[in-house]
Amino acid sequence: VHGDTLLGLETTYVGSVLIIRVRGELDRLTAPELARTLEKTAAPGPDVILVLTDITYLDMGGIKVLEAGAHAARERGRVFVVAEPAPMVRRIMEIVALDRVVPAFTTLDDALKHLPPRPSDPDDARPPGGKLE
Amino acid sequence: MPWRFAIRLSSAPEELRIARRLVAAAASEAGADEDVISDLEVAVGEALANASVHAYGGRRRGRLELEVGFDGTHLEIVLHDRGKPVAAAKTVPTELPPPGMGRGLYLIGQLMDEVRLVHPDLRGRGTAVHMRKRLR
Repeated sequence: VHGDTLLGLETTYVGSVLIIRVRGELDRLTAPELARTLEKTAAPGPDVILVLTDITYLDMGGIKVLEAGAHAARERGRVFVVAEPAPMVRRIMEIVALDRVVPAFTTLDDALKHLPPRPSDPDDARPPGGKLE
Repeated sequence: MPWRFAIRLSSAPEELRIARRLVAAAASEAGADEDVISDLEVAVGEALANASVHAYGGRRRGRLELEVGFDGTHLEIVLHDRGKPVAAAKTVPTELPPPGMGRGLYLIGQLMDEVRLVHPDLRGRGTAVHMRKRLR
């Protein structure tokens, strides 16, 4: 596998919630790609769920990007959580206490239920030019 | 059946990735479970990344040597670099340090059964990270 295809990122929305499915190796080399995607898609202000089922490798480079994402979400008053972490991902999150900053849910449904209701939920997804304050 | 091998590599990220996968493959060959294999791969990957960043300042051409041995129950891994000291201590932190203060080393310590740092390793330079984990 070539370096550029080691990380797969797939973004979808459920209502106004941004869901990013991360696949492959999240290490120092590939983590900036996730950071860029978070900046582009999460910065406008949705709640974010990262689905980490298909992560095959995670190091401190990846952990730092998750921390930064959680920090940025908190500044915006939004929720940033993990769903369906692979066992290895959960283990590392616990060791470095990332699970105290980024809650991890066993299923995507559990994660969705954890999110607070937003004014634009659930039917009219993202309001055109909706106010953020 | 016990075995042992060593490889030389540079600190280029592509080679670090190959090396950590090689350790995972060796652990698999030795009969380790999947969760043990992933512990080993992350620990060795983190040790390699530490060497690249701290010993060689992120340069691609730092020289590294990785020894991997299996004695029938334990996998023993030694990573040698010839750069600046990776850490001042001889042991890894046993409490989670704050960001930027050795969390990678702490993670390695939690994933392996034993970790020891030897420095200077070679004629006043370099660090050797000794790691050991029971496979079965």
